[in-house]
Amino acid sequence: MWIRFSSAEVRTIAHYLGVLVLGVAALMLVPLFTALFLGEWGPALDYLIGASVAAAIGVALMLADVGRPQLSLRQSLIVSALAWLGAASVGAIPLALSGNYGSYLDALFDAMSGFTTSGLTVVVDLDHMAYAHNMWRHLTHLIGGQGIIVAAISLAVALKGGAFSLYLAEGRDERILPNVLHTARFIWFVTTVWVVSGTTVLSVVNWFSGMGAVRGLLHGFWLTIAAFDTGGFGPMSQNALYYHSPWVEGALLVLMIAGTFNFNLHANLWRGDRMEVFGNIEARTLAANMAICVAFVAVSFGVGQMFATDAEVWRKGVFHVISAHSGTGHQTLYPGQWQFFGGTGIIALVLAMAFGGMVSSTAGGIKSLRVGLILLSVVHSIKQAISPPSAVVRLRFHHLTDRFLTPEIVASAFTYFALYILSYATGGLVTAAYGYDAGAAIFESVSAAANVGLSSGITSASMPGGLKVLYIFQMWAGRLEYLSLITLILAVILSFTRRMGRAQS
Amino acid sequence: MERRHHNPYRHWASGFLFEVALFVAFLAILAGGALVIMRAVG
Amino acid sequence: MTPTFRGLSLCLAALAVVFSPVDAVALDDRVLTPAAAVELAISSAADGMPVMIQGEAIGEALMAPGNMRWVNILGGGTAIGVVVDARTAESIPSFGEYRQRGATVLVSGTLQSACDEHGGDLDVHATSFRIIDDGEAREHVIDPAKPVLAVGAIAVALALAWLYRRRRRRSFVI
Repeated sequence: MWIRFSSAEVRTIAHYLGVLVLGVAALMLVPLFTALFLGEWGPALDYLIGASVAAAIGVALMLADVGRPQLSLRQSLIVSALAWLGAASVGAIPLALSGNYGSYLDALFDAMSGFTTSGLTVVVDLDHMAYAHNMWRHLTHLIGGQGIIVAAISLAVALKGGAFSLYLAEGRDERILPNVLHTARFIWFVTTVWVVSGTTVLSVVNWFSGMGAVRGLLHGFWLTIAAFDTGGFGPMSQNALYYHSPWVEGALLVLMIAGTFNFNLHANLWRGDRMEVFGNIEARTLAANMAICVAFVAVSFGVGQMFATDAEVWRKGVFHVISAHSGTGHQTLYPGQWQFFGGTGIIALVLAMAFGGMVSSTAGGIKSLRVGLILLSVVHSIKQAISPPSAVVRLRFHHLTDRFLTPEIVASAFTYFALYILSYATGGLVTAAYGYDAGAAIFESVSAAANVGLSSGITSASMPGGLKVLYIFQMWAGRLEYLSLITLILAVILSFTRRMGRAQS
Repeated sequence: MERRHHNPYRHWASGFLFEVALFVAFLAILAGGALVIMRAVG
Repeated sequence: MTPTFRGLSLCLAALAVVFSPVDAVALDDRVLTPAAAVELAISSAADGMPVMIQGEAIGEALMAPGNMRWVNILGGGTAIGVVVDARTAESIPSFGEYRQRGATVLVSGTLQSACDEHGGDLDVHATSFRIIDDGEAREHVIDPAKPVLAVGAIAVALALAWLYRRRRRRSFVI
């Protein structure tokens, strides 16, 4: 069933990985120019080194195949799996030189967290970090976030069916933008409109709050891309709490929902097909899920009475449910304050993180389309059970087009569901084995694997190295939705066993 | 069905504003509902 | 040393402690770091506890309702928001950032675990505010190895790029 990779194929993969790494090197020019513009000479040197080393690695990888190789589908899965590891590995170089990280591993943690739009961080003394380094940290959200959507949609178009077909309306429908290039262009257009609008609003808020011109603008831009790309990094150690502003939090709420929105839905709404959002199974599931989680948090607030004023209900309750559900991880409280949410509130938050946002967005987690389809399949089973044996029950659902619920679609949704649950549980078990409290361990594990970034306080520079490696892997695997990662691991194992076989014979 | 052929770039501003209004309305409903529930419990 | 002289010097030392504000503060074990204050607020889960905290003012003073200002104070790796009046905030000589260690300030006030007035933020409402030192510029000495590394990395990257171009051209000839 599995065809092993020949050495020529491996060289092709290396070539394209090199192209991607070279791209990351080029993007490091943004923080380099930020540093030069603001006169941060030390950080400018860090990015000169980072960009040069990344360029050298990139070109070296490209040398593996100097022809113009064609990339097959299987190879592109491997390239997309390795892309995040490659980008994070070279993206960590300038951060490691910044002096704000204890080791290269810590810098790699933040780079992986950034590129996978998670938002967990092990940075030290963030409040004194150079602007250039903060620019790079936040830019990784934008690069990685836009990257995963384009990668997912490209594969969906290329594979035409199977597991990826859920990303798009199936077949040749008029409603799909003609090809990947057009889709990518439209995604960038939506992103640009949202980022420019968000940056404008947040900069004005920051200026009115008393921030300087350049600083207010930079913070506005960083907060916007961290929220719209559902990342969750912040330029200050208190994250969104630093601003103590209902205006900032309100703008972030809107940006977080926009960021967790399927780009195909954006396309429908921008085309004028406004009713799509009300009939779409994914949008409905997400809205219902968010409402249920908010309701449980509200009950918990009513019982606990710690957050029981009108402002607290939305600034602490609704804010963190949306932050968790959209996979952003912006936080306006200290990790210890989670206890004020009460048991019900914390469980609601963990579930919100686990379910995640929509497909074809930068959100993480199981994704509400799959949750909706699984619920529908439960309805299907019940209907089947109570109907006469001869009856054939067929359920319809609406996602971009009207479709019938088929066993293949249900199986695919359940596969992803199982893989995420497995990852959440494994991470929680390992974290607890390091001696952390069970609740905090599950919270942190789900946060990492669902690319959220809310923290129960476990993630810090002083956490064990093994846990850092585990979370790096969880963020990576969760971002790729396991499939391409499993392909990669199988390919490596198979090539290894083949070599073993050869050595023995 | 005809509307679906529209170029998404042509009316982007109205689409964008519709999204903003939709999200703000949704957030308002969530916050309002949460407030009612919290007061009912506490 | 005569007993009289010793007694006199002890008295002088005591006076020095009393009249030197910095030393007196450092000696006072009731003064908390912001990190310790946050921990206390979480474990006590109560509003209105009187505290004294000392730390570095960071970022800038931000608007708070009622002509007040937010000043975030950093210490022990954690920052906490302090609400002060606008005039006091204006008197803070410097705020911490990349190029600057901000002024060290000593704040007396009340600690809120989840402030009802400010949307549930964990904060301190200042009743008295004193500037201990003005802060100073942060020196950033560039490691001499870095420029060497940069030149080396650029050279390697350019060499590889040249090699790539050459080999690709050759591959087309074949």
